[in-house]
Formats: sequence, C-alpha cells, structure tokens
Amino acid sequence: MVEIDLNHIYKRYANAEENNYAVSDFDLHIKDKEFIVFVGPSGCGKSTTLRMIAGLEDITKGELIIDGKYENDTAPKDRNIAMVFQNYALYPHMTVFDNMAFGLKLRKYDKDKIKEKVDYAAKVLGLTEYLDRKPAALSGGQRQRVALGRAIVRDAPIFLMDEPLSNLDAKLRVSMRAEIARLHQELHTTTIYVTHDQTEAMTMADRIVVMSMGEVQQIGTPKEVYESPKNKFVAGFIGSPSMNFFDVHYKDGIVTDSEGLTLKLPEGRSKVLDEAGYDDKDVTLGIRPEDIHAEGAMEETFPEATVESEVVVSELLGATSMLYSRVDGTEFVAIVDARDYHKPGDKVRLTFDLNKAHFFDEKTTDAIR
Amino acid sequence: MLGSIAKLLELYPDAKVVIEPSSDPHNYNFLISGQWVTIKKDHLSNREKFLLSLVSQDNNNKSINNQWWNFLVHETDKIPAEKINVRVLQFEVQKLESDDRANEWLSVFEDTFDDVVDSFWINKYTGILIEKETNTNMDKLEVQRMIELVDSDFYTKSHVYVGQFWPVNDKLPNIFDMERQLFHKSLEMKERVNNLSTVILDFLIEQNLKNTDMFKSLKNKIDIDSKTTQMINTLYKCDSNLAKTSKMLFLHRNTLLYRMEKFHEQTGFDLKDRDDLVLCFLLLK
Ligand SMILES: Nc1ncnc2c1ncn2[C@@H]1O[C@H](COP(=O)(O)OP(=O)(O)OP(=O)(O)O)[C@@H](O)[C@H]1O
Ligand SMILES: [Mg+2]
Repeated sequence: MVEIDLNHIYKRYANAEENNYAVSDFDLHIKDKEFIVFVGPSGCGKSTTLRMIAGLEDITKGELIIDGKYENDTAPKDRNIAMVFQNYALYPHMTVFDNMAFGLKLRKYDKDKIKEKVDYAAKVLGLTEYLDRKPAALSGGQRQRVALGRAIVRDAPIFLMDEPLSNLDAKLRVSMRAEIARLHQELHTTTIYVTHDQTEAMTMADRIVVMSMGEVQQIGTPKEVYESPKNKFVAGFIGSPSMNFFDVHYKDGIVTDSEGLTLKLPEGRSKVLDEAGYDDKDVTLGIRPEDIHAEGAMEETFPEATVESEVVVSELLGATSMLYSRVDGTEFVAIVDARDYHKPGDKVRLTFDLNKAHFFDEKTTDAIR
Repeated sequence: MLGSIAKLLELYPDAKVVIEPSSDPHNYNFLISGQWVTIKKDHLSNREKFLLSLVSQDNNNKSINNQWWNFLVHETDKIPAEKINVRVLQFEVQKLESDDRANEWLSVFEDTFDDVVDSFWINKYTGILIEKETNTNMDKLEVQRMIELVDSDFYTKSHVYVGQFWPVNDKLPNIFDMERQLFHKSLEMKERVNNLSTVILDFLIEQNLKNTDMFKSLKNKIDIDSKTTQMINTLYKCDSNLAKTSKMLFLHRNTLLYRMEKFHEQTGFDLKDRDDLVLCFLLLK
C-alpha cells in the first residue's frame, strides 16, 4: 500500500537563471498500484521530476509526500524505491543470479533471503534456466529482463522507470512493453514510467501526465487526454498521426480559412463557440485524421463539411490507408478505409466529422468548451 | 540552491565559490549543489564555528599519498609508469551513505574496467581512476551505462569525466591540469558522463567570453525565455533542419518559421543563417 503526493513541486538547477525552472508547479496525487506515465518532448522535465522522487535531485520548492510522510530530505536508499534506467547494463563478470542479487548483497541480506527473492524474480521473468549464465551469453531481450529483475528483487513498493525501452529495437520494444504491463498486473507495484513516446504512454498508462517545457499540461486517463485534450499542445502530442490544425475564422456557424476552406458546423458545436463568445473571432480548429472520412454515407450526413481535395501522398497500411491531402493551400492527413485508397494526384471528396472536432483559443491555445 | 549560495555570499562576504575546496585550515569547505564554497573562520562567532564544523567537509587532498596523484599534481617528478598510454577518469559521487560505502563503491566501479592501473579517492566526494590503453577500453556510452548500473545499486548520483589517452611522460601533469578544469566544468552539465568533446564549448565560453562586457550586453539584448532557448538549442541539434526541428518541438513548421522571424525582428539575428545560429547557441551557454 503506497500513495505518492507531489505538492506543487519546483526544480531549479544550480547553474540556471533566477526564474528558470526545469520543472514548475508539478502537482499530482498517485494512487496505490497505479501505473503513471510521464510523457512529453525532450527537455520537458520528465527525468528531473522522476529523479526528485527518487531523491537523486533536490526539490527546490514544494513537498514530496509518500504514504503521508514528508520525504523531501529522505536519503534515496531509504525511500523504498527501485529505479530502472534507460541504459540497462549488467555487470559483465557476474552471472545472472549475481547481477540480480548484487543490490541485496550490498544491503547485507542473508543468503537464503537473497536466493528466495532472486528465484522468485527469475520465475516471474522466465529466467530460471539462465541464472548461471553471464550477460554476454544472453539475448537483448533476456538482458533487459535481468535489468527488470534487479529492480523486482528489491521488493520496493514503487518502481521508477526512465525510458527503459528507448534503446531497444522496435520489435523488442513492443514485446518488452507487454512484459512490463504484465509484470504490473502481477506485482501491482505502483509505477512511474517516463517516455517521450506517446504510443507507449497510451498503451501502458492508467493515467498519463503530459508535460511541456517544465509544466504539466494535462493529467488524465489515455481516453481523457485523447478525447478531451485541454489545450492544443496535448491535442497535437497525443495521437498518431497528429491531429490536423487549421487557423480559421468563425462566424455565424461557419468556419473559413484564408486558403479557401469553408465548413459549416453542426448546431451543437456552433452553440458552444457562440456561448463562449467566439462569434466573428479567429480560432484554431483541430480534427484527428481518423475523423476525416471518404465514404459517401458521411457526405450525405454532412454535405456542408465535405471538401473536394487532392491527394498529395498516400500510404496503404493493411486495413486502413493514410491520405495526405490538400484543399487549395491547406494540407491535412486523413486515415480512411483501405477501400478508399487513392493515388497521389487523385481528386477525392473528404468529409470532416465536425462533431468530433476540437476548437482552441488562438492566443492561449486552451480548448474551448 | 543558486539562491542559497547568493544569500550566503550576501550574509558572509568572506565566503567564496571555488573550484577546489581550500586546504587552508583557516577555512571551512561546503559542497552546495555541486559547487564548493569556502568560508574563512576568522570572523565567525564560536557558536557559528561549532555549527559549521559539524557540517563542513574538510579538504584532505593533502593527505593523499599516492604516486600517481603526486605525479599528476606536480608534487613529484617521478614518472609512475613507463611505455604505456593511460587515461584519467575523474568522478564525483553524491549521496554516498558512508565512508565504508565509498570504498565498496570504488571497488565495484573499478571492477567494471579491465585495465585499471590505479584508483583512489582524493576527498570525500571525488576520486580518480587511471586506466591503461588497450583495444577493449569502454567508450563514453559504455562508461555511462556502467555508472548508471553502479548508481542504481548504491543509490548514488555520479558524474564522470572520461579523459583522453596520453603517454605517461613529463607533459602529462600539465595536460591533467586542463582535464581537471574540464572535469569541474562538466559537473554543471546535464549529462553526467562527459569527455573533451562534450565539455569544450561550455568551457571555452566560460573562460573567454562569458564575463566580457560584449557578451553580457548581447545576452541582455536577447529576451531569453524557455521557448526561445528550446528553439535555438533544437535548431542547433538538428543541424538547422526545419522539418526535424519542428517535429522535435511539436510545432507546426509555419509556427516555427514565424517564431524565427519574430526573433529576427527583435534581435537582428537570423536563425536561418548558420553563423547567427551558432552565435545565439553560444550566447545561451
Ligand atoms: N543536471 C542538470 N543541470 C542543469 N540543467 C539540467 C540538468 N538536468 C536537466 N537539466 C535541464 O532541465 C530541463 C529538463 O530536463 P530533463 O532531463 O528533466 O528532461 P526530459 O523530459 O527527461 O528530457 P529527455 O527526453 O531529453 O530525457 C532541460 O532544460 C535540461 O536541459
Ligand atoms: Mg529524460
């Protein structure tokens, strides 16, 4: 049973300028057994936050509370945390057993206890028959599992993982992702997992913390951040390929852009914009590639949200195909049924499902709700 | 913490930020966020002295009796080994639990190298490992992996500066002087394992430019917020490739262009121009 509270945490590095925080006002309550993912572009403060929780970086301002106890000044070894780093390495001269046992030996655990913990971890990870091998005689995936085993034997109620898969090839990454998810289901260890890969975040997290430039942009389940992004950054960062954005002018239920795009909004959507005071204002329209359709049925439902466009680039991806298209000067990408695949240069009628569209304030970039 | 140092200097004008802890017994030494601060005992009250003596880290460099160290710091001319090339790895380890642990830490770290000539602590936090050149030496990334491994077992936070390989002769101590300074510079950097290539720019700027009036005035002219910093650093990292940069920043290409344009208007520096970009990159250091 463990809960973590990050109360308005700030970090400024020693050599940084006065008001230049690497992390600002990070506020999060993590529930027991939760799998939390910090995601965001390079330099947004993910590792810094994780390392403050681990005790490896000092907290400049704010409180870290673990199970009701103030932990800002607790030494890293006393925090009951196991950390898995990006560059999973093993001691080359030690066997798999000794690699996993090493941290416990340092902590003077007795032999039987160590054997019990290592055997358990090996069993969970399917490494039992490799315990006597040296790292050089293991595959990449097995080595990565030993690295996880080194964390599991600690029996810590909190796992911190900093991009543990980012140096693996794509295939191994997918299988290790599943392995970590399975481990979490089995061990229920409260986990904070850092990645810059939104797919990893979406597939693994109970809740995602989206960060940009040291600030939390949104905290929510994968579904929440995907369906109701709080601002344009979250909308563009979550989802692949990214959401399409159009700078448009909104007036009397219709949006237009300077490149010749004209779309009529469904009544429900225009009402929200009207009530929020955006009539006759510039706004940003966002629409996901999967919400742009090529079927005729869609056009019948939304004739005034249909545009005649030209395919610029297209990719066939099994059941779906991706169309990078253009209406006059405006480019966007649509994911459509494989049957609606078109070659570059083809003219195709595409319908925007505007009930699924998002609108953002042009200046603050906040979602208009 | 920078704030704390500033405050300390304000309250105690005698205090100084220094590269190496002072070995003068009239001073107390502290390590604050990786920076040594030394303070003179003379003007302190007895109460202050007592408190400080409990927390200060006395410099015991002087008591190191190691032939390599004595050679490297010009204390003896006796060359400790011949006909080999060596490199010096300098490290600083924070968050060690105790002195016993320090020795264990060093022996584990040493074990990850195949051709160690010598290794030793020079004070409570920093140490030296001297390694012979062979054809199996670890590169920087491998050293980084090893240090992460050792850190994860000891719950420590370590910085390493990986020196170049040099013949052991009378020039080595002079070279080491420079590597020592580079090591100290590297402690301020984001990456915890560094070498000549990763530190040299920051080092040169600090030595030659940072405190000049020209550089300071230039810096004042540019409104450096985190967005601008990120834009310039990323442009530099991506070799001015706009598509790559806008992807890394999760910006639309046009938004990026717009920001570059605005920057050009405000500062006169055109980030599309290679030379201007490099200059701005250096200004941010
Ligand atoms: N030791 C340090 N000293 C000074 N600044 C640092 C240090 N570590 C990180 N920073 C700065 O703090 C900010 C956040 O860095 P951090 O490493 O937490 O980002 P991140 O989200 O983990 O990025 P990445 O995906 O590159 O790992 C960056 O601007 C970085 O340059
Ligand atoms: Mg990171």
